[in-house]
Amino acid sequence: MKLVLIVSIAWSLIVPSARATQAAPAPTQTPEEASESLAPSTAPPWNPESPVPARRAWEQVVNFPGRVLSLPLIGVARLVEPVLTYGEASGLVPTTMEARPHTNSRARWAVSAPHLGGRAGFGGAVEVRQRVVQGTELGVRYAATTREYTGTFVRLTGRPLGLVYGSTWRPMEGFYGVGPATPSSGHTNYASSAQFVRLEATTEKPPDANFNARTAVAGWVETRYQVLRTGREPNVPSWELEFPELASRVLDRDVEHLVYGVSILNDSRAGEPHWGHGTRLMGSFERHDAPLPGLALHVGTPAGAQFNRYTLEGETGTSFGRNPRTLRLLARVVDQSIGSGADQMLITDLSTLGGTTGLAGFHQGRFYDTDLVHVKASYIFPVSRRLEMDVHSEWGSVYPDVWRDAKLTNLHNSYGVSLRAVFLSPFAAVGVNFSREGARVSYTFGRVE
Amino acid sequence: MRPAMISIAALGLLTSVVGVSQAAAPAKKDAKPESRSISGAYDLVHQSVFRPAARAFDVPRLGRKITGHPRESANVDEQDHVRLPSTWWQPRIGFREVTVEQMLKGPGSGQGPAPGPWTVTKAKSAGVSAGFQIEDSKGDGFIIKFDPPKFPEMATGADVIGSYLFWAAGYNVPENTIEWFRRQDLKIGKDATYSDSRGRKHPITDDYLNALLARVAPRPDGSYRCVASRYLDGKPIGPFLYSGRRKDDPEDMIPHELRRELRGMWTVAAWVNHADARAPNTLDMWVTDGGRSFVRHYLIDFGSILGSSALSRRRDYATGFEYYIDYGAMVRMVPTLGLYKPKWENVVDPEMPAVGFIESKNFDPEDWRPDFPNPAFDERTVRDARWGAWIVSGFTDDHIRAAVAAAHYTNASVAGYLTRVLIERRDKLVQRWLGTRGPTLITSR
Repeated sequence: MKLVLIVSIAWSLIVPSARATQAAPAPTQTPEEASESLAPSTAPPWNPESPVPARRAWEQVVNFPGRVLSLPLIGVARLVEPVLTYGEASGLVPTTMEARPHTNSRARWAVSAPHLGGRAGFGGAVEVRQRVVQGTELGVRYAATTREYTGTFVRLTGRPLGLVYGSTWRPMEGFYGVGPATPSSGHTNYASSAQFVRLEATTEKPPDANFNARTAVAGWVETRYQVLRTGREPNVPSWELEFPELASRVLDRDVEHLVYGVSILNDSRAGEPHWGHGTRLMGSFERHDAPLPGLALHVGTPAGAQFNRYTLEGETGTSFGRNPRTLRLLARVVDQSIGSGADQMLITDLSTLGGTTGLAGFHQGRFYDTDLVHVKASYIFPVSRRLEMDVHSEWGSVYPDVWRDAKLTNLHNSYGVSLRAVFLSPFAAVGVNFSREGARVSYTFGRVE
Repeated sequence: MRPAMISIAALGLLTSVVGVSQAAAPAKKDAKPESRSISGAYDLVHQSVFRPAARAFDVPRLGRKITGHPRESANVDEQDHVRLPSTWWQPRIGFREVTVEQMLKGPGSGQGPAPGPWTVTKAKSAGVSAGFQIEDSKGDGFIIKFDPPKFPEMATGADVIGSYLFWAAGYNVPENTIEWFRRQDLKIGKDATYSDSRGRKHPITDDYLNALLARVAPRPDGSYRCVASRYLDGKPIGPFLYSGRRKDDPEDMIPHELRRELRGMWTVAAWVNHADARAPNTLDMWVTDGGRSFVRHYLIDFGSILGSSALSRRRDYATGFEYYIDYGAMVRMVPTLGLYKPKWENVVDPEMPAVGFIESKNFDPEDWRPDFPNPAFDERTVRDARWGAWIVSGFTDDHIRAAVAAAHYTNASVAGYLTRVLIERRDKLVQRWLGTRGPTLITSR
């Protein structure tokens, strides 16, 4: 090794020295001699006899350790450059701020983050949208990840109506049992498959001079098929091994629901580069009912538990400073009342916390139960022209009955910090979140609130 | 452990050897260098993340900085003048007398497209704003660019002012003029095409042209304002970088970060707020002129200087004060949880859409920064900055007034504001780097 080091240093020392040997300065033209006119010169430019080295010999030697240390960085750069160059050449990375004009008949392609939720891993989605008739658009989106999560969505929209077909496969969902105080040692996983067809209608009133808020009312009817399977995560036991009684009721059993609901939203949030003031209030009701035979995706599939889900969400913020420093507060309550078939309740229909669903310092799917409460306080401040930092703390838990069981003393706490990249608005974030069970790295690409 | 260390050392050796062999490789004379392209996104990531990180390990650079012995430009003579001739820069204002009329003639005839209909030949595929390419009635080619709809006259005005000022400062630039046309003035060329987002070519149709113009704000009389940028002579061979050399150009023997013309350009860029001074806004042309073929180096696309941004909006208030990713700012902001108040938060916005955002009161003539680090600017020394200030000092109020007038702003207060800001920024730069401001500077050289 010493020999290699000696040779490399010697090489760095000798060769650049030779290369650095320059001829005596060539006669310099004065500005007056160089050009008789203001036009660019056509004469051969002044140059030394040999190329000027970017570094002198001693700099090569002294910089050798630094060069070795920065090799991994050089390697990453070598990888990133062709990817981005290809991305720009192929149009995958936009080079203009203004979308190119398109005619009605042309399909539009887009590549984006998969948006398949937490634990899905790295991946991407490809989407194509095509205008069908005036005011109606057909979109097809396929997303896949390294952890073999997939989602296929077909959407036909003609405002105010939309018809959506979706099919998802989630093979490695975390599960620790049902209840607010499940031990972290009971980590298992399950797989779930779902298909749905949803008809939705939305009416929306944009902000105007009299009312500075967006108001939207939406209603939907959906037929949904679900089935829970054995978890596929390597080295993590599948849920039926740790929770055999629960699994015996629903594992590999097809369940179909007719789901219908309504939601109302009032949103006055505004600000750049992130929303810094205003309030968002959202309330929704959703009924998971027995399937209608004529509408079922899989005729003859039994109904699972029939239940109502009430969701209330409120979010507000205030900011100060020209480059906004923003304080935000979010509160969310989910209350479910189960009618018939409580023992058939799928864990995918339970309320859940952990990871991206709330309490980011805990594993995704760390807590499951019927209801939940979740509160998050954030402080977002700029750290550079294109970077922001989000310092936040979360409290929340799941309960059999949120109104009866929720107490300040039994809330779980998670806190963390994330760095957000901003273009016109935040588009990517990477952070670390902590809880009593450890630290978790999180990342988001595409949609950062 | 030991094999790993040997591998790392060997890799270091290899990179040194590769670096050396590349530096020593002779290039063929009179052979056109290969055309090349660079990724704007990669340039941003490289200059903002990779290169600063590599510089953090650069012990010689740190040593030079601490001991006050920076590496000076490699192409200056004993009088600290740029050794001439140069294919990068030509001594003009600051070194020779350049009248206002000569500046307005600029790099070409001072005329835009010839009267008559324009034939659209291609849709503009690069840059930040909508546009297309045309041939005028004489067959001369131009690139046509527009303003963002919410900021009429901003980008086109900046593009024209920038081309005059940078030309007068000695740099090679395209000839830009403000033009007005109507939809009926446009004809679609027989083989006119545009490229879609996947790089596939399609014929330009009336629908396409109408859709493109629908995204441009027309003037009250229905005409469209644009900047016409005349095609450069020669064959484009891609941008130049602000560091390293173009190894297949035999006349490119000085690393660009050691070139006075590029290091000293910092002062000119600071003056006109050219925060978008990066490789994608440059172009090397293979020209045949004066009986020989060679590479001439151009600065192009000044649509995001002054108060105009490359994001089809106005400049943000932090422009010139911080890089996009500014580690110095982070050191101040993170420990104080953002409660530290940067100087730029005190700036006053002129609230003029045609200006965008630029001001002079808080302008920092010592530490102005582009959007992201520029390798040549990073290596500048006091002598480089003074060289640039020498040029800036040569611009009289009349030069500035005339360049701004060439932007044909509808509102006289816009021209007045920009003229005042440029004069005040010039004076600050000259005061900082030359210690004085006086009309005798030019004649004393």
